[in-house]
Amino acid sequence: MLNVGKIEEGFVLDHIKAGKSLSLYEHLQLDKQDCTVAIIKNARSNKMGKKDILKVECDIDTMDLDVLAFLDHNITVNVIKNGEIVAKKELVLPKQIKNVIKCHNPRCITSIEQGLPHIFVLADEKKEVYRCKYCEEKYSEAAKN
Amino acid sequence: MVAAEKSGIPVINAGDGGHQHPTQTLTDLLTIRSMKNTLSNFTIGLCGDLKFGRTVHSLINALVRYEGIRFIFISPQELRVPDYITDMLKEKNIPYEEVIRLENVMPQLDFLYMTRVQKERFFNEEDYIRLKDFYILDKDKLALAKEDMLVLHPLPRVNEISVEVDDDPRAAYFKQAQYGVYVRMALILTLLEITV
Repeated sequence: MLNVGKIEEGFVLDHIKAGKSLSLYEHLQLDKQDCTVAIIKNARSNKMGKKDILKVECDIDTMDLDVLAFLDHNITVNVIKNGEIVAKKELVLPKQIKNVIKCHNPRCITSIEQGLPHIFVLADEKKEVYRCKYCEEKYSEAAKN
Repeated sequence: MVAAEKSGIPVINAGDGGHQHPTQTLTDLLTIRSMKNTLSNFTIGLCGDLKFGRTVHSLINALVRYEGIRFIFISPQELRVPDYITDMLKEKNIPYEEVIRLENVMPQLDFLYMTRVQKERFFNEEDYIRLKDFYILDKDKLALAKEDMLVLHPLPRVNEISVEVDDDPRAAYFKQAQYGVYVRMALILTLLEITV
């Protein structure tokens, strides 16, 4: 069993679906953060069998974690101070998501102008429906990166 | 929208792909109000390519602001109105129905908004040829309509309205095109802050 030590200050993303931690690392743009990150893949879990965990040693207030609510509801965000869990952060669906999913409408401007960001806007919070900002195409699970 | 985001001057949306066409909608609203003195309490049939028909999408968006509007969408299955429009109508409790045959609903309509089936909206020629003549308004179909129903069309037409209909007093599409000139003049003058 591989052991990864505690972090002093930062946050831990727990209960990530096994194998998805690297994709979250990219979506959260952790490569651009000058901080220590531990990516734990296929850790044992009583609840899930296998899970991934991300440990990030940086100020949580500098990060926009709301995209996690869109990517995976089941992720737990533990806020760590002085090596202990002090809070669990509530995730809310972001009003807008940028370059996380792609619009697959071949007539959308984002399919023609290759440099444009793919922006989706939360159209229905209850049903968790996102639509392309430009052509209003509904996001479907198949379009998820 | 992309142009407006990058530009330092106002951009008029003169139709964006198969999405929206707001200046045509201003024209349509002016036509309806000028010819019927109201923008409320009527049944409008929208016929043809409702999937990619941008003028239809914008017109529905605008008409939901008024009271007592009922929509009847007349199109082949392949060209039905997009779900973001029907979702919006359901949310606002606005009555609508989707039908395939124009003749069946003709007597109910106060307005018939025809659209063309555009070749460039199709992925292949076969689909276009199969569907392009599906909904043609001719004298026989128009005979089923109310005496005071008005036929609108954003123009140009291909063959979805027979020329024999042009002389019918209910054919309002050439008048509508004339209003389109005034609306666009007014819009440009407003944006340039010119008072006449």
